[in-house]
Amino acid sequence: MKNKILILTRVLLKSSPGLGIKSKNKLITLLLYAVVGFAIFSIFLSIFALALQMYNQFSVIDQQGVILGLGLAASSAIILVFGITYIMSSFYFSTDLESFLPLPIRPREIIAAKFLVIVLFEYLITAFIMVPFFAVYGLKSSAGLLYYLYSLFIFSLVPVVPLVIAAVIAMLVMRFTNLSKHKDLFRTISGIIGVFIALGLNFALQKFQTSLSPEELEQLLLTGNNSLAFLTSRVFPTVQWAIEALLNYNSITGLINLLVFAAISGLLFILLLYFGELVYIKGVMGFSETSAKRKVSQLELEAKVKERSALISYTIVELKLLLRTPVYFLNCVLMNFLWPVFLVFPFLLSGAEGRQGVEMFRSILLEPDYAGIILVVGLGIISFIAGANGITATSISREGQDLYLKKYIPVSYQTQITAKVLSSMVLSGLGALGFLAIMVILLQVPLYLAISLLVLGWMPLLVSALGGILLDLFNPKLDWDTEQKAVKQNLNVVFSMLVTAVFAVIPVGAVFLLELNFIQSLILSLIFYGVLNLVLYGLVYRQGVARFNELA
Amino acid sequence: MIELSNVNKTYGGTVKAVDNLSLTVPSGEIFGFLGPNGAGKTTTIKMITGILAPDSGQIKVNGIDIKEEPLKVKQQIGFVPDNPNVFLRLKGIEYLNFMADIYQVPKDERVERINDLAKRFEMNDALMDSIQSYSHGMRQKIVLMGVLIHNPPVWILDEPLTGLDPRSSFILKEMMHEHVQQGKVVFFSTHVLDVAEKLCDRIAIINKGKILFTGKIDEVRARFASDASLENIFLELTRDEE
Repeated sequence: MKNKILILTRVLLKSSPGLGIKSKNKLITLLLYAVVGFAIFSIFLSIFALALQMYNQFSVIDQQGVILGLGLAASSAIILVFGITYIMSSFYFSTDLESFLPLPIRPREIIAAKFLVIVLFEYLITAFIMVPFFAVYGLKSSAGLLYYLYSLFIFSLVPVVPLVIAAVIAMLVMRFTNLSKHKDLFRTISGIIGVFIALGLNFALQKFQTSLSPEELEQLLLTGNNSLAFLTSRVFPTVQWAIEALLNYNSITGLINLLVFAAISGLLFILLLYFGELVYIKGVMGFSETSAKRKVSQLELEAKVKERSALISYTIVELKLLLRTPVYFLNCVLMNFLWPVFLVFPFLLSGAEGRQGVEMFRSILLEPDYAGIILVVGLGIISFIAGANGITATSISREGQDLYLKKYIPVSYQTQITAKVLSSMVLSGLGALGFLAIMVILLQVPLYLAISLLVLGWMPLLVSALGGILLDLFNPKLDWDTEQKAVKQNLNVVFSMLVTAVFAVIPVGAVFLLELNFIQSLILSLIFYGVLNLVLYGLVYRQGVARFNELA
Repeated sequence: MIELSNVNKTYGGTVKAVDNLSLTVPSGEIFGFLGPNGAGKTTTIKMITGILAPDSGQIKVNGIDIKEEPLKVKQQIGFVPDNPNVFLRLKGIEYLNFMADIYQVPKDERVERINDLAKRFEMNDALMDSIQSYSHGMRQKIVLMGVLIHNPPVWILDEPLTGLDPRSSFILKEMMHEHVQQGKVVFFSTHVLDVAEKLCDRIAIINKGKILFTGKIDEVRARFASDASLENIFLELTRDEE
């Protein structure tokens, strides 16, 4: 049994693609790696700094152990949230299932292999949190070698419990509902729920922080060393053993806790395998197509048949695919409308303080001296919304192996690119409108500012759309077996985000440094985004079109 | 008419998929393109349809050079790829509408074509469903319908008959005959030698990127043992010389 699991795991790992950085030009490839490396490094560094700051703060009240708890609890929560979607798509929606099912493999072997692969992927995410937090604690408390060995061991086991929970939830849902028949709808809904769980967690965390009264804090302090750590880990009970093990690594208590943690993780994993043996396959099968056939009247048919230009028709199909494909909907469409929510979220949450913040913000917005900077920041955010949704940055990648379909139709590559850009303009535009609406309703932005943003908004939108498609034309990820890989595991989205962020910061910096007033900022924005658009337009419709022609 | 002269295509700098291939498919003929797996059939078709550019050589469809006027050539062609799993999230009718827009078919004509094709392939009741819910054969039929909706003068079909039920496959063959009777072209690749033998006016046999033989079935017979089946001749021709 063990052998088969390992063989399967190897196959699954091998068939999952790498970073997707491939370019004929070695220099570009190198550059891409450098950019990604830098981005990763800076995220890593900032989390490191956060951990360090927290350690210093908590060590004043001798509660430094809290950062271990925070690191572990945060990692577990993230694994759980991501885990449900990972497990769903890997266990149930992956195309490789059809080739595994006829093989003489037990369901639990498939589960084990797929589970292991997900655990490995989770390491990539949790490393960002756990490595800085564990390292800071270790270094600052000058812990011994054993602490680091314990850390490594715990790091490798942390994903197990949250993933088991995620897997059980997923399997139960798939087994006992007929939702699996409405695969697309289900994925969309569960994705939306996932997003709101993430938002809810954020909310709960903030509530939790503020609801601790001074008396409670004092009590916690009185009860001695590091008890606060356990409070943060209450969400995931197993995490307590891990914390206890790390805090007491140099005594027998630590070892015992470590062993308990490992044993429980292992036990839950084995239970999952047997649970899956009962439930999994039944959820997977009966998955095939459903259809409700009905007669179509001649009138109905004629009503459905509409004549449109190739450009409009192509754009509509792009939009339909974005809206109907769950992964695309969640990442490219829904995200688009969530950014504005994220942006105002902090204001809505933290009670009286937050309201004060909103008031302060409003008074800044009404201050004519700041109008210029608010304009460029607003345009920057609009550009970022469009850059981050990845609609154009994945528009070629999304074609995948079916790209050839776009090569034999009698529609020029210019027109096809235009249709893809248009589809981004439509959806990003709606996202930008949502953002503007929030600015106007919630923050009461002055009307002239709102109108300026509305009138100029298409320019940063177009910059992001053109920039995105240029990125994707030159580095498309066409070799994928699940749509998820085309969008979620596509670095072009990250590049597009970074590039638009840089583009957004330049005029903001200029307005700030040169102390430009509103009219000057307006002119600067016009020139900046105008020139940028012209340059990108030239690149996309010359080099980009030629590149589209070469792609096969 | 399809004309290929001295067409070459190499993959990855080493693998020669198509080797100095010249071929003329005159109008008014059903032309079968035969060859073992990996012989270069699909590569050739991809070059004729504009999916791949040849490294060298010339390709003309109805006298138009694909390199010079790719869109005009593409407008001439109706191409049925071998993989029917496309546009799965569109409904049948949406897909047909899209294809009709792409090939600029006027509304009246497209309603008429959709009616006619849906009747022939018995797809009337499925048009409002998403293609994802179709069986393999139905997917093939909807792709065929999408291709034929603009009534292209040149049909190019990559393995069109695998997966179709006998009735649909019979109808398609009938349509091929009708099509060439109007002086147009049908060019299709196949492994199924029986079909080629019965259906084709002429065939070409390709192996390792080279055309081994072009001509009428009778000519093949005349050239080889007269009583041999096409299968035997094919096996003889494409056997490795080891």
